[in-house]
Amino acid sequence: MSRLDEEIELINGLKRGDQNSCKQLVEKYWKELNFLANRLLADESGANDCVQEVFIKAINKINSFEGRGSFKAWLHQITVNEALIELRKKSARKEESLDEFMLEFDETGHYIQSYHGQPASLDVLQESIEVKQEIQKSIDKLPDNFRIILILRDYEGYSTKEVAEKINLSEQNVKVRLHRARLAMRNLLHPVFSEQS
Amino acid sequence: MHKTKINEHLTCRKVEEFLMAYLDRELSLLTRLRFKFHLLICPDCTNYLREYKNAIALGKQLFDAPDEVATGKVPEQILHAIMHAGKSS
Repeated sequence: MSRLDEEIELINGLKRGDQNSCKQLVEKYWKELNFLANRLLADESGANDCVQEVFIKAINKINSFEGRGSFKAWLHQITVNEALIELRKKSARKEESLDEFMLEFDETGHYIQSYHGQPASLDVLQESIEVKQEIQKSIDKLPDNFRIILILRDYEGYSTKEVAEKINLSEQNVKVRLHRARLAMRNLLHPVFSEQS
Repeated sequence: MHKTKINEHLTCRKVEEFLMAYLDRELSLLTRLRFKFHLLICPDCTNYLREYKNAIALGKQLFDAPDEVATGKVPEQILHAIMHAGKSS
């Protein structure tokens, strides 16, 4: 039986109320949904609660899952929605800035500090666990209103329009924040990107 | 479409501002040429662009396969709560 067939079996089992299928699906997807929720919320214990709620909603709504898209994508969608609800609950979200992560320019518009070292190749960086950990830490450092846009647009594959609708901003505003968030990520990761060579 | 004045010389600050538009091919032809010319003469911006692109690619890769950094097992009490909620629904 292929992996896909096994998953279909488990989903059908869940639809019939089979506890073992439920347990296997939770165990299978826990890790990646927890990772996603953890990055969206930048809060470990909040992520556990969020994913618990995701699975409860998924179980309750399992009969509405028709299998047109993948089960994984369906769970990701529920996780994003759940995390956004959690973030909205945070009282008085203040507009935070990324200025502390930006590079400075002199009065002629050139970088004050020149580039140090040699940039590593993508192949080398892809193999490094340290780089993966640094990416994770850097994402968590971004303020909510930039982090969410970066994750949804660059990593979860939402279009600019979809992100704008989800978080109630104009598309132009999403683009501006995405660019700032990407710059901040590059600047935060620069030490580890240039050390690898 | 991002445009520059006819005699405008791009600075590193402008290149940083135009990075995303450059990658999305949203610069006017003239501005795109100026952008590329700046990259030819400025190793700082060439390296910056490379790291900007790497940061995007590596972040995407991490989200596609978070196994190496993600926490493994479902905490027992959470599994219990999910199973219990599933049973009662």
